[in-house]
Amino acid sequence: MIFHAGDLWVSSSGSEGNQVFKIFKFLPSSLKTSGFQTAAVTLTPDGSNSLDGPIGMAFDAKGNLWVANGFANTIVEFAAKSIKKSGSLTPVVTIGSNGGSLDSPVGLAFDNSGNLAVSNRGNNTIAFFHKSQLAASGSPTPSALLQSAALSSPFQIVFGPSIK
Amino acid sequence: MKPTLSSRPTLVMLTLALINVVSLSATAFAAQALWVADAFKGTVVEFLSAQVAAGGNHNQTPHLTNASATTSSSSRPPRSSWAFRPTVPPTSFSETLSSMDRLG
Repeated sequence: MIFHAGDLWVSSSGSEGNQVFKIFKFLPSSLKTSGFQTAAVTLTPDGSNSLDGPIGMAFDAKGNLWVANGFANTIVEFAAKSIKKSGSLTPVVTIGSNGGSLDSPVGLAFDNSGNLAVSNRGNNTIAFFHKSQLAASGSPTPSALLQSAALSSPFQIVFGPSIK
Repeated sequence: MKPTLSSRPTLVMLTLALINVVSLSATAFAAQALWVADAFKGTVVEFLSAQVAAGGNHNQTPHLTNASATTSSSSRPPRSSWAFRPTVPPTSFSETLSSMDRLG
Protein backbone atom coordinates (compact mmCIF):
# COMPACT_ATOMS: atom_id res chain seq x y z
CA MET A 1 0.00 0.00 0.00
CA ILE A 2 1.10 3.53 -0.65
CA PHE A 3 -0.08 7.04 -0.09
CA HIS A 4 -0.47 9.33 -3.06
CA ALA A 5 -1.90 12.84 -2.94
CA GLY A 6 -3.34 12.06 0.47
CA ASP A 7 -5.19 8.96 -0.68
CA LEU A 8 -4.34 5.44 0.43
CA TRP A 9 -3.89 2.88 -2.34
CA VAL A 10 -4.03 -0.79 -1.44
CA SER A 11 -3.29 -3.72 -3.70
CA SER A 12 -4.94 -7.06 -3.08
CA SER A 13 -3.88 -10.46 -4.29
CA GLY A 14 -6.49 -12.26 -2.23
CA SER A 15 -5.60 -15.35 -0.30
CA GLU A 16 -4.38 -18.79 -1.22
CA GLY A 17 -7.12 -20.54 -3.12
CA ASN A 18 -9.05 -17.30 -3.44
CA GLN A 19 -7.01 -15.04 -5.62
CA VAL A 20 -8.85 -11.81 -6.24
CA PHE A 21 -6.71 -9.18 -7.86
CA LYS A 22 -7.83 -5.65 -7.14
CA ILE A 23 -6.54 -2.22 -6.28
CA PHE A 24 -8.43 0.08 -3.95
CA LYS A 25 -8.23 3.79 -3.27
CA PHE A 26 -9.38 5.12 0.07
CA LEU A 27 -9.94 8.80 0.66
CA PRO A 28 -8.41 10.51 3.70
CA SER A 29 -11.87 11.00 5.16
CA SER A 30 -12.38 7.25 5.32
CA LEU A 31 -9.21 6.77 7.33
CA LYS A 32 -10.26 8.79 10.34
CA THR A 33 -12.17 6.00 12.05
CA SER A 34 -11.76 2.28 12.43
CA GLY A 35 -14.11 -0.18 10.87
CA PHE A 36 -15.27 -1.24 7.46
CA GLN A 37 -14.66 1.39 4.84
CA THR A 38 -15.88 1.49 1.29
CA ALA A 39 -13.19 2.24 -1.24
CA ALA A 40 -13.66 5.37 -3.32
CA VAL A 41 -12.20 3.56 -6.33
CA THR A 42 -11.94 -0.15 -7.04
CA LEU A 43 -9.79 -1.23 -9.95
CA THR A 44 -10.00 -4.70 -11.47
CA PRO A 45 -8.06 -6.55 -14.19
CA ASP A 46 -9.09 -6.50 -17.80
CA GLY A 47 -9.40 -9.58 -19.99
CA SER A 48 -5.65 -9.76 -20.46
CA ASN A 49 -4.99 -10.19 -16.76
CA SER A 50 -3.55 -6.73 -16.42
CA LEU A 51 -3.46 -7.39 -12.68
CA ASP A 52 -1.88 -10.73 -11.84
CA GLY A 53 -0.63 -10.92 -8.29
CA PRO A 54 -0.32 -7.17 -7.77
CA ILE A 55 1.77 -6.20 -4.76
CA GLY A 56 4.05 -3.21 -5.17
CA MET A 57 2.80 0.07 -6.54
CA ALA A 58 4.38 3.40 -7.33
CA PHE A 59 3.26 6.63 -8.91
CA ASP A 60 5.45 8.42 -11.42
CA ALA A 61 5.76 12.18 -11.57
CA LYS A 62 2.80 12.42 -13.93
CA GLY A 63 0.47 10.57 -11.59
CA ASN A 64 0.44 7.35 -13.58
CA LEU A 65 0.17 4.21 -11.49
CA TRP A 66 2.76 1.48 -11.89
CA VAL A 67 2.07 -1.97 -10.52
CA ALA A 68 4.33 -4.99 -10.02
CA ASN A 69 2.54 -8.16 -11.00
CA GLY A 70 4.24 -10.78 -8.89
CA PHE A 71 2.63 -13.73 -10.64
CA ALA A 72 2.90 -12.56 -14.23
CA ASN A 73 6.42 -11.15 -13.82
CA THR A 74 5.41 -7.88 -15.38
CA ILE A 75 5.39 -4.21 -14.52
CA VAL A 76 2.38 -2.36 -15.86
CA GLU A 77 1.57 1.31 -16.14
CA PHE A 78 -1.95 2.63 -15.85
CA ALA A 79 -2.65 6.13 -17.06
CA ALA A 80 -3.62 8.66 -14.42
CA LYS A 81 -6.93 9.33 -16.13
CA SER A 82 -7.82 5.63 -16.12
CA ILE A 83 -7.65 5.25 -12.37
CA LYS A 84 -9.96 8.07 -11.37
CA LYS A 85 -13.06 5.88 -11.45
CA SER A 86 -13.76 2.26 -10.66
CA GLY A 87 -13.48 -0.21 -13.48
CA SER A 88 -11.23 -2.64 -15.26
CA LEU A 89 -7.71 -1.56 -16.07
CA THR A 90 -5.88 -1.85 -19.35
CA PRO A 91 -2.21 -0.89 -19.13
CA VAL A 92 -0.67 1.64 -21.47
CA VAL A 93 2.77 0.10 -20.95
CA THR A 94 3.69 -3.46 -20.01
CA ILE A 95 7.29 -4.27 -19.12
CA GLY A 96 8.07 -7.97 -19.34
CA SER A 97 10.94 -10.05 -18.06
CA ASN A 98 14.19 -10.37 -19.95
CA GLY A 99 16.44 -13.13 -18.70
CA GLY A 100 15.22 -12.94 -15.15
CA SER A 101 15.03 -9.17 -14.97
CA LEU A 102 11.61 -9.57 -13.39
CA ASP A 103 11.22 -12.57 -11.11
CA SER A 104 8.29 -12.31 -8.71
CA PRO A 105 8.59 -8.53 -8.59
CA VAL A 106 7.10 -6.97 -5.50
CA GLY A 107 8.58 -3.55 -4.76
CA LEU A 108 8.65 -0.49 -6.97
CA ALA A 109 10.29 2.87 -6.41
CA PHE A 110 10.97 5.84 -8.64
CA ASP A 111 13.98 8.02 -8.01
CA ASN A 112 13.89 11.77 -8.47
CA SER A 113 14.83 11.43 -12.13
CA GLY A 114 12.00 9.09 -13.02
CA ASN A 115 14.04 5.90 -13.16
CA LEU A 116 12.41 2.81 -11.72
CA ALA A 117 13.81 0.27 -9.28
CA VAL A 118 12.15 -3.13 -8.90
CA SER A 119 12.75 -5.67 -6.15
CA ASN A 120 12.60 -9.29 -7.27
CA ARG A 121 11.75 -11.80 -4.55
CA GLY A 122 12.22 -14.66 -6.97
CA ASN A 123 15.91 -14.20 -7.65
CA ASN A 124 16.84 -11.76 -4.87
CA THR A 125 17.84 -8.92 -7.11
CA ILE A 126 17.03 -5.27 -7.59
CA ALA A 127 16.54 -4.33 -11.23
CA PHE A 128 16.87 -0.75 -12.42
CA PHE A 129 15.21 0.64 -15.48
CA HIS A 130 16.15 3.97 -16.97
CA LYS A 131 13.14 6.18 -17.57
CA SER A 132 13.69 5.89 -21.31
CA GLN A 133 13.11 2.15 -21.01
CA LEU A 134 9.67 2.74 -19.54
CA ALA A 135 8.23 4.77 -22.40
CA ALA A 136 6.88 1.79 -24.33
CA SER A 137 6.00 -1.84 -23.80
CA GLY A 138 8.74 -4.39 -24.17
CA SER A 139 11.21 -6.52 -22.30
CA PRO A 140 14.23 -4.28 -21.88
CA THR A 141 17.48 -5.36 -20.31
CA PRO A 142 17.73 -3.49 -17.00
CA SER A 143 20.27 -0.70 -16.89
CA ALA A 144 21.60 -2.35 -13.74
CA LEU A 145 20.86 -5.51 -11.79
CA LEU A 146 21.97 -5.34 -8.19
CA GLN A 147 22.77 -8.56 -6.37
CA SER A 148 23.88 -8.94 -2.76
CA ALA A 149 24.34 -11.66 -0.20
CA ALA A 150 22.38 -9.38 2.09
CA LEU A 151 19.24 -9.96 0.06
CA SER A 152 17.23 -13.14 0.52
CA SER A 153 13.78 -11.80 -0.17
CA PRO A 154 13.88 -8.14 -1.06
CA PHE A 155 10.45 -6.68 -0.58
CA GLN A 156 9.63 -3.02 -0.28
CA ILE A 157 12.14 -0.54 -1.57
CA VAL A 158 12.39 3.21 -1.37
CA PHE A 159 14.79 5.87 -2.47
CA GLY A 160 15.82 8.11 0.36
CA PRO A 161 18.66 10.07 1.82
CA SER A 162 21.95 8.37 2.45
CA ILE A 163 22.96 8.15 6.07
CA LYS A 164 26.66 8.66 6.51
CA MET B 1 16.05 -2.48 -31.34
CA LYS B 2 19.67 -3.17 -32.20
CA PRO B 3 21.22 -0.83 -34.73
CA THR B 4 21.95 -2.15 -38.17
CA LEU B 5 25.66 -2.13 -38.81
CA SER B 6 26.88 -0.67 -42.09
CA SER B 7 30.06 1.21 -42.97
CA ARG B 8 30.53 4.77 -41.71
CA PRO B 9 27.25 5.32 -39.88
CA THR B 10 28.17 2.31 -37.84
CA LEU B 11 30.90 4.24 -36.03
CA VAL B 12 28.51 7.08 -35.27
CA MET B 13 25.84 4.74 -34.04
CA LEU B 14 28.23 2.76 -31.92
CA THR B 15 29.63 5.96 -30.47
CA LEU B 16 26.16 7.20 -29.63
CA ALA B 17 25.31 3.86 -28.12
CA LEU B 18 28.45 3.95 -26.00
CA ILE B 19 27.70 7.48 -24.84
CA ASN B 20 24.19 6.43 -24.00
CA VAL B 21 25.37 3.46 -21.98
CA VAL B 22 27.95 5.50 -20.11
CA SER B 23 25.49 8.30 -19.50
CA LEU B 24 22.85 5.89 -18.32
CA SER B 25 25.21 4.23 -15.89
CA ALA B 26 26.68 7.45 -14.60
CA THR B 27 23.56 9.50 -14.12
CA ALA B 28 20.83 7.06 -13.31
CA PHE B 29 20.04 6.75 -9.63
CA ALA B 30 22.97 8.99 -8.77
CA ALA B 31 21.29 11.26 -6.28
CA GLN B 32 19.77 9.00 -3.70
CA ALA B 33 20.39 5.93 -1.64
CA LEU B 34 18.26 2.85 -2.07
CA TRP B 35 16.72 1.29 1.00
CA VAL B 36 15.53 -2.30 0.86
CA ALA B 37 13.40 -4.20 3.35
CA ASP B 38 14.20 -7.91 3.26
CA ALA B 39 11.25 -10.06 4.26
CA PHE B 40 13.19 -13.24 5.08
CA LYS B 41 16.15 -11.74 6.87
CA GLY B 42 14.01 -9.15 8.60
CA THR B 43 16.58 -6.55 7.82
CA VAL B 44 16.68 -3.16 6.23
CA VAL B 45 19.74 -2.38 4.17
CA GLU B 46 21.00 0.70 2.42
CA PHE B 47 22.85 0.74 -0.87
CA LEU B 48 24.65 3.92 -1.75
CA SER B 49 23.95 5.71 -4.96
CA ALA B 50 27.36 4.77 -6.32
CA GLN B 51 26.58 1.10 -5.81
CA VAL B 52 23.24 1.47 -7.50
CA ALA B 53 24.64 3.47 -10.39
CA ALA B 54 27.41 1.03 -11.14
CA GLY B 55 25.44 -0.49 -13.97
CA GLY B 56 25.46 -4.02 -15.26
CA ASN B 57 25.13 -7.08 -13.09
CA HIS B 58 27.11 -6.71 -9.93
CA ASN B 59 27.27 -7.97 -6.38
CA GLN B 60 27.23 -5.37 -3.67
CA THR B 61 27.66 -5.25 0.07
CA PRO B 62 25.21 -2.87 1.70
CA HIS B 63 26.50 0.36 3.13
CA LEU B 64 24.34 -0.19 6.19
CA THR B 65 22.44 -3.19 7.50
CA ASN B 66 19.90 -3.00 10.23
CA ALA B 67 20.90 -6.22 11.93
CA SER B 68 18.93 -5.45 15.05
CA ALA B 69 15.70 -5.81 13.17
CA THR B 70 16.48 -9.46 12.68
CA THR B 71 16.60 -10.34 16.33
CA SER B 72 14.97 -7.44 18.12
CA SER B 73 11.80 -9.37 18.74
CA SER B 74 11.00 -12.95 18.00
CA SER B 75 7.33 -12.11 17.94
CA ARG B 76 7.69 -9.35 15.42
CA PRO B 77 7.39 -10.41 11.80
CA PRO B 78 10.15 -9.32 9.48
CA ARG B 79 9.78 -5.82 8.25
CA SER B 80 8.58 -5.90 4.70
CA SER B 81 6.77 -2.61 4.44
CA TRP B 82 7.95 0.75 5.58
CA ALA B 83 8.61 4.25 4.42
CA PHE B 84 10.34 7.42 5.33
CA ARG B 85 8.27 10.06 7.01
CA PRO B 86 7.84 12.45 4.14
CA THR B 87 8.43 15.70 5.96
CA VAL B 88 11.25 14.65 8.23
CA PRO B 89 14.13 12.90 6.49
CA PRO B 90 16.05 10.75 8.92
CA THR B 91 19.37 12.07 10.08
CA SER B 92 20.63 8.84 11.57
CA PHE B 93 20.08 5.15 11.29
CA SER B 94 18.31 5.04 14.66
CA GLU B 95 16.01 7.77 13.49
CA THR B 96 15.19 5.69 10.44
CA LEU B 97 14.38 2.68 12.57
CA SER B 98 12.27 4.78 14.87
CA SER B 99 10.36 6.00 11.86
CA MET B 100 9.76 2.46 10.73
CA ASP B 101 8.58 1.44 14.19
CA ARG B 102 5.94 4.10 14.05
CA LEU B 103 4.75 2.82 10.75
CA GLY B 104 4.35 -0.65 12.16
